Parts: sequence; C-alpha cells; structure tokens
Amino acid sequence: MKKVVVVIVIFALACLSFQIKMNKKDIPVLLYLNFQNEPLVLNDKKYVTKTNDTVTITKMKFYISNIVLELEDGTQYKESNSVHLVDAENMGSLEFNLKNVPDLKIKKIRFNIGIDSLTNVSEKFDGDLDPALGMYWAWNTGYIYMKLEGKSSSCTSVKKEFQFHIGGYLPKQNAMQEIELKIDENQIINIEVELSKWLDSLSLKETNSIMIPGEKAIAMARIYKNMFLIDE
Amino acid sequence: MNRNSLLVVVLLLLSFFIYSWKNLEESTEYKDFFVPKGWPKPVYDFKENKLTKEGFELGRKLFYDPILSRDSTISCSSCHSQYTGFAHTDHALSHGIEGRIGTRNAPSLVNLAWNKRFHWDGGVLSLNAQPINPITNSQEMDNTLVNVLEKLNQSKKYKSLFNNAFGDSLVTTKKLLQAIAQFTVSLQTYNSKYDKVKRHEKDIFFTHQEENGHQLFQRNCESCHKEPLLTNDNFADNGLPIDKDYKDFGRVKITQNTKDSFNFKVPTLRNIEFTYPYMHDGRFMKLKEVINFYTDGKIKRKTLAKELQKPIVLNENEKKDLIAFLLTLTDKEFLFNPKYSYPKE
Repeated sequence: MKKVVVVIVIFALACLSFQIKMNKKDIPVLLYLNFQNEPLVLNDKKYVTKTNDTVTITKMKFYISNIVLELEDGTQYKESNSVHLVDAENMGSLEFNLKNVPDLKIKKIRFNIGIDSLTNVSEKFDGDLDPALGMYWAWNTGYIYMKLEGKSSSCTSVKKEFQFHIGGYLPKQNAMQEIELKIDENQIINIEVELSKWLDSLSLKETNSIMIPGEKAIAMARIYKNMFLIDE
Repeated sequence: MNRNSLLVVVLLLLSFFIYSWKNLEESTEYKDFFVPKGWPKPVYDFKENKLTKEGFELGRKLFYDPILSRDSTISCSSCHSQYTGFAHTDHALSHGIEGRIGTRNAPSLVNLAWNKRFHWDGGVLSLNAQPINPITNSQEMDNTLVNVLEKLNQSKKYKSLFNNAFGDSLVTTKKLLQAIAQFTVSLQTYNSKYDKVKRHEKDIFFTHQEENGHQLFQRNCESCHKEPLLTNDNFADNGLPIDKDYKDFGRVKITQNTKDSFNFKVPTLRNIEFTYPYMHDGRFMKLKEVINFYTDGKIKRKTLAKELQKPIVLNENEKKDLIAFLLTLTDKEFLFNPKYSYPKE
C-alpha cells in the first residue's frame, strides 16, 4: 500500500513539474534606440531636430524597472528584482529576458522609467544598481533615471554641450515615469525608443542642462516619456 | 515508543535548538556596538551590515589609505583626524587633492549610528552611501568608484582582507561601502567628564563653574544640542550671515523648499574643544566667538529657528562658565583610543 502511495506522489510531482515547464517560457525584451527612425549613432552622426538644433549624442543611459505584463486571461506577470540599466554604449544592455512568463498572449506591458522611492533608499548597491555605473547621485542620495548628453551648436554653454541628468524620488521631486503600452504578442517584446520625440520638443538654446531633481527635471521626464513605443 | 516517534522527537528537539540558537545570534547583533544607558536606540541598520572584527579592521585600513584618492595623496583621515574628534582642525574649509578647496568644513565623525542624514545639508541619507561623496567629489578625492574598485581588486592584500571580512575576495561597491561604514559607525564617544558625571561615577563631579555652565547650556542651547548626543540630528537656521563668496544656502539645495534656506545640520558638540573651526564654513576659530555670535550676531530673518527667536543674554562670567561646561564634553579616551588610530601593519 505504502509503495503505491509513493509512486502516485512521485508521478503527481513529475506531472506538475512537467506542466510548469510546458506553460512557462522566457520572453525576450528588445530595445531599439532610434533617432528619426534610424538606429541611434553615438558621437559620429549629426541630427537636425524639428526645433532646428543640430545635435550629436554622446551618451544615453536610463533605467527600466518594475516590469508588469498583463495577460489575455486577465492575470499579471511581475518580474522579480526588476531593474535594467539600458546604455546606448552597451549593446548587451539592449536585450534582456523576462523569465518564466506564462505562455499566454500578452496584452499590455507596464514599466517605470526610473527607480521607485523604496529601491532608491534600499542600498542594494549591486547589479544594475551599483553606484559605480554612474547613475547615482552621491551628494543628494538617489539614482539618476535618465542621462542624455551631447553637443549642439545651439547650446550657450562653454563647450556647446548639453547634459540632462534626470532623477528624484521625494514627493515634490518624483521624476519616475510610469509607462503602459498595448501589445498583442506572445513571443517577443520590441520596444522602440525614439529619441527625436524628446529633442524635437526642446530648444537647446534655452534648456541645455538639468542636473538636479525638481520641477524642471519632472517636466523633462514628462517629455521623454513619449519616446517609448511598441515596435510591431 | 517506536523508532518513528523517537525520530520525530529528536527532530523537534533539534529544530528547537536551531531556533533558539538563531535567536541568540540575533540578540547579540550589537555585539561590538555598545549603546550607553539612557541613550536612544541607534538608527543605523546593523542587520544589513553586521559588525565583525574583520570588517571593522578592513574599514579602518581603507579609512587611512590614500588609495581611495585619484592620485593616492589623501585619505579619509586627511580631513577627519582622530585627535580632533575626526574633524579637520585649522582649516576653515577642507582640502582635497592638489590643494583644491571645498566650500564646507569637514564635520566631526562621532556617534554616527544615531544620525539619520549626513552632510551639512542632509543630502545623504545613509552612512553606507556617504563615502561615495568624498571619493568622487572633484574638490576632494576626485576619483571614480570604478577606479577605486580596480585598484583594490589589483591588490592581493586587499583581496584577502575582503575575503576575510565578507567571505568573497571580489571587491564590489557594496562591500567597500559596508567595510568603511563598519569603521565609521564604531567611532563612539561617551566617556567625557560630562558622561561620567551623568553616570555618577565615583569621585567625578562638575566644578561649580561647570555646573553653572551646564545650567546655562540647558536653558539656552539644549533645545537643539539635545543631550546626551548633544544634537537633535535636525536642521536649523541659526542666524548665521550668508558668506558673500560661497553663497551657501544649505539644505534648500536638497529640498528646494524655501523654508529650508539657511538651514544647516545641528552638529554634535562632543569634543568641541578640538573640532574647531566652527560652523559649516569654519568661520569661527574660538568658542568665545561662537558664543558672542549667538548672543549678539544672529540675523533675524523668516527662517530663523524658533528656538533662537528670544535673545540669548549672557554676561562675561556666564560665557566663561558655559565654555567651562563645553570643555567637559572632551573624551580623551576616545581621542587617543588606539583602536581607532592609524593601523600599524
């Protein structure tokens, strides 16, 4: 009798693990950093924005965090420890996998551009949250959510440079942006980041440096939020 | 009792032992950290960074090692020297590499486990994160974390010390910061004459002058420089005129709330005899100047601390008494404790 029970339990466990394997898979997320629908080229290419600024981009880095997928059956998938530093200089950072996603159609993806307040003060300091990665303010403790740097003849600054370091998590300084995009997909998620949408809304002659949290940073974050699109 | 139930009993006992042993371990988490009687509970999170002898010694070595600065010329101790309460004596503004000069006076590093915010403007939220500032600030060590980690990871000696402290020889930002914090959080001062009098230690009493000074202190200063830490760990506008060259408005830079203009951290007064010069920009060299400022020099403005709204009136003798009391805050056992000094090989 005992032996029969043991056999049944083992069989049940085997079925269960088999089922888990059958119904979950990894979903790759690919980011395409573009400027006017062409892949963004750092340093060597000049772009002209709608506001007639001629620009070259030298650096673009940002955080994507707290990814949530809405699935066709109404359930949600939440990525655990969901923090990804995306860096235009590092091709490897433009692709990552969401692990063990139920094999269902994905209807929506939600994520934050930035780091939530809890993680800002958590002092994890490792992986993509390592302050050595250059996305951390030491003097006003917290993460930089978006870093965009470049040059433009329109800039009134000494070296014709523009620098946007956007962050802040305190109540009146919160620059984190929540993004929700519709998808109809169950294999791969392609996200397009169209940088021209940001720079087309600015005049670099007037605004070419934001390096602290506050109202200006929040306003800027609300503009760059529009860069994120689903690439079908 | 058959064999199976015996097994169950043994297992239960075992798990009970493991459980109580674990609890015992938790209850001694402040093993190397002493909270003096009557002091508040520390705010530092010792659970996230357990103090160990190896971690403390590693942090101490890093604190005294110029390897942290870009050109390997200055260490943390260059601006925080033990004999002056880990402050920067003689220099109004603290020095970085190549003689570069910052805009503020390096504060004294003592009893940091009770601090919620760091720096004169409170921009830094944790002791662990603080060292990133002096390491990367261009007026101070002008280095990068990447460079520091690379240098430390090239050092056999450091790799073995990190291995001893954290069970892993790879030097990472997190471990570097935790090690330094294990040293700085341990810089505890609680053995001044003031403390001993408070503890009613045998044959130790305030002189008549010190006692009078203590009463004056409690009436005029203690609302902000709260005992026993001698600070309320808060920010306030003490009425200091703005320096026209530095134009440092303090905490408003962090909060962007104009109510915080002219607000700076209320510093502890422990070891004040040696932590001169005083104020965030080190403008006063002598205690007498500080007291004269509080009686006669404060600027009345909207942000002035409510505690300072009423004038402070002290005659010459009272000023002397107050200083006599302030000198009882000196803790020589701390200032000369070999545990905190330059580590000899």
